[in-house]
This record gives sequence, structure tokens and C-alpha cells, in this order.
Amino acid sequence: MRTTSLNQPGITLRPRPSTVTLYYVINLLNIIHNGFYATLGFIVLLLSACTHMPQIQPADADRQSRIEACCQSHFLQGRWQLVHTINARLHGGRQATLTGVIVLSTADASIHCVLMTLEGFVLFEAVDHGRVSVRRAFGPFGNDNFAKGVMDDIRFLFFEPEDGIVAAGKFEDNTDGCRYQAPQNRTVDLVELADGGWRMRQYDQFGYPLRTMTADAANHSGVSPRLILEAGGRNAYRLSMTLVEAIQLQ
Amino acid sequence: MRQPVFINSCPLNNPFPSRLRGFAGCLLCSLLLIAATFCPGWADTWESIRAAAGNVDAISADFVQEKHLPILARPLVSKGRLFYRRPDSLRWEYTSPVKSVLLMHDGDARRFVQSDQGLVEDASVRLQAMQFVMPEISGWLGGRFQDNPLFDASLHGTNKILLVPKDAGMARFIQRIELFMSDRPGVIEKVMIFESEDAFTRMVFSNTVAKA
Repeated sequence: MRTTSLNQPGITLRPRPSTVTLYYVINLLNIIHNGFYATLGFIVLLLSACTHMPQIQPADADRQSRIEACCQSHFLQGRWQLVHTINARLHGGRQATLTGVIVLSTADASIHCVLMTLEGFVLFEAVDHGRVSVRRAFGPFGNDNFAKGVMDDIRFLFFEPEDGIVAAGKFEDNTDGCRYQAPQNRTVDLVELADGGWRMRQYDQFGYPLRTMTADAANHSGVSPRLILEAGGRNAYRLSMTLVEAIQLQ
Repeated sequence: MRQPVFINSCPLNNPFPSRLRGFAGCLLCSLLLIAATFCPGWADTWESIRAAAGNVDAISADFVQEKHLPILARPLVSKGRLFYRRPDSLRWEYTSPVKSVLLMHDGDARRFVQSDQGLVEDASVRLQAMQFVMPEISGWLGGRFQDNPLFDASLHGTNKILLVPKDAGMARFIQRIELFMSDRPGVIEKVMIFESEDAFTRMVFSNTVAKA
């Protein structure tokens, strides 16, 4: 199967086998020399290697441009205020429900985010103008890593990856979609589903899935009324986001 | 193994830190108190408020809640209904934009939120805030504002009570609460909860029924 992007001839879109192999060798040496922690790294490596970032078969030029346009239509343009009811399902089955307010601008890639209780009490407020700044936070919500994680989630959900499309075509499951290169050497796959909804998956540099978003078909405003964000790992979480209102701002 | 940073630091495991104690409860208490106690002309003194409040056994009211924040192009509007019965039974229900029900009885509190599976218990809500303030509700309904450990209360004119946090830590998050009564005896008009001058919650009540 040919896996070369039409945009970048000669560049394979498989998940960097040489890097994985190098990492494998390094970890193998570490196992020998560094004991437990290296062993742990090796196990992680194996787990990562077991996951599979699907191959994409690039479409012909005409079809590729149509698919790319379709992919780009998934992302909002301009300045928006989005309000969601967020049901968070946490590791162990616990659930929490919050209201989330996001003001984002694709012009300057800025984000302003507020999380509050259903009663309206603000738990967390932060802005990201290239640097995350927490304006208000209760206790553990004040953790800088939490703020960064929230912004990463928002950026993943609503911003087209800034490094752009590297391939558009058909994935292994026969769905049409696009592959994006994202910052931090990540890869994002976006596919349109048969019902008009979307699925987007983010992988790390080793092809390990980090986040998956599933969105219902967009409403008349071009905004999906329901998003689900799933993140794996030891403390996996699932956010079900129901749109309360979407306002395009000037 | 690489993970989103959020995974390793998710505070939703404990989304209601102790700092939050009192806020939601005070909100509820404020509403209940007003519904129970205010009638024009008799809210001039704490004694008259206490005397009138002693006659109320149960309350129900519809409410519209507006959340104002600088970030919002227009306020967030929620609607619902509350029911209270002495000494400590409360149903606080939102009907929009998302259905949720908060039930408090005999010191225990549970919240249910509408989801794909129907009304699902929101287990994260340990509701310390509610349980912490619940014992105060009787005091508020009894018109005993000055016994409140969280707020200093003062009367302003004939239709306003001002509550100011006693604790500086609390004041970082709730600047003040203003309670207003309507001209109609026994009927509340609104509650204003200020987090800052431009971040506040307005709650307006209607169809209030108080039973003696």
C-alpha cells in the first residue's frame, strides 16, 4: 500500500518506525544498565508499540482538495463564545457536572476559559494568549498543570492544528479524512462519520493515542451540539460536553 | 507513557474544596430566608424579621438565575424551582439549561443531573457545602442573621439585607450578598451574589408560596 502524502512526496506517513526502533534499542540498553526504571520504560514502549496509528491512503488531487475543504469546515473560524454543560466521568466511575464557558479566537489563537458549578460559582478561570495565565482558581484547580491540560483539551477540540494537513484520503477503516501535523510532534487524524458527525484522534510522536473526540453533526450555526472527549492512561477521563449556546462575536 | 497533563492533575476528583463551603448553601439559605421572612414594613429590625419568620413552615418558589461575567457576551440564564420544609428538607431543582435536582434531608445531600442515562447521581458532589450550611437554614428561617458564622449582616432601608463575609479567605470569592424583598408581603424579589463588581449572580423569584 502506498502511504506517501501528495503534499510531501517520499515521506512515509507510518508512525516513524526508525524512531521507535531507536527508542527500543535505547530502552533495551537501559534495561541492562539501569534496572527497574528502564524496565518500566521498556514496558511503556511495548505498550505504545502495540497501539496502531492507522495508515492513510492519499486521494487523488481533486478528491484530496475536497476532503481537505471538508476537514477544515469542521473547525470554527473567528471569535466565538461557547457555553457547555460538561459531564466528566473520571477513573473509577465517578462523575462531576460543571458549566464551561470558552471564548476563543482563531485570529490570534487565544482562549479564555471559565469553569463553574451548575449554581454558577466560578471554580476556575484562565486565559491563554500564547502563555497560560490563571486568573481565578480554587484549591487544586490552581494547579498549573491543570490549567495547561484544560487549554490543551480546548485547543485540541476547537482549533485546527496549526502545522496543517499532511495528507487527505482514506483511512484503513475506509473513512475519508485528513491527517494533521500538530505541535510537539503530535499527529491528529480527523474523519467525517456517516451521520455527519466527526471523529478526531490525537497521537503522540510514537503513534500512541492521547485524546479522541467524537462530535455530533454541526447545528445551523456550524457548531456541534454535543462533543465527547476521551483521554486514556492511568487516570483516564471522559468529558461529555452538551452545547448550551454558541455566539459568534465581533 | 505520555498523557495529557490534565490526566495527572485532574482536580475533579475533589471539585469542591473546603473554600467552597457556604457558597451554595448561603445562596440557598439567602433565597429561603427571604422567601420566608420578608414583608414590606416589617423588615426594619432583626426582631421583627425573627418574629415573622417564625410563622413559616414551608416554601416553594420559581426562580430565574442570571450569571454575569466579564467573559460573557450575555448572561447565562438558568431556571428552576425550589421547595423547602422545616426543619431541613430542601429540593433545589434546575429545569434549564440542564436538568438537575439537589435533594437535602436530615443532613444528607444528593444531586442528580440529567444525562444520556436519565437522571444520574453526581457522585463528585460530596456537598460538604450543603451539609455544612444545612444546619444554618433553620437559623436563617428563624431570622437569626446575626448568628451566622460566615457573614456579617446589616439592614439597609426597608427592603435590603447586606451580608459581608467575616473571613478574608471567603471574601476573595464572595464579596457580598444583597437580599431584596418585593413590595408584596412575603414575596421575594431578588438575591445578588457578588464575586466581584462585574462578576455576580442575580436570582429573581416568582410564584412564591409560603405556608405557615
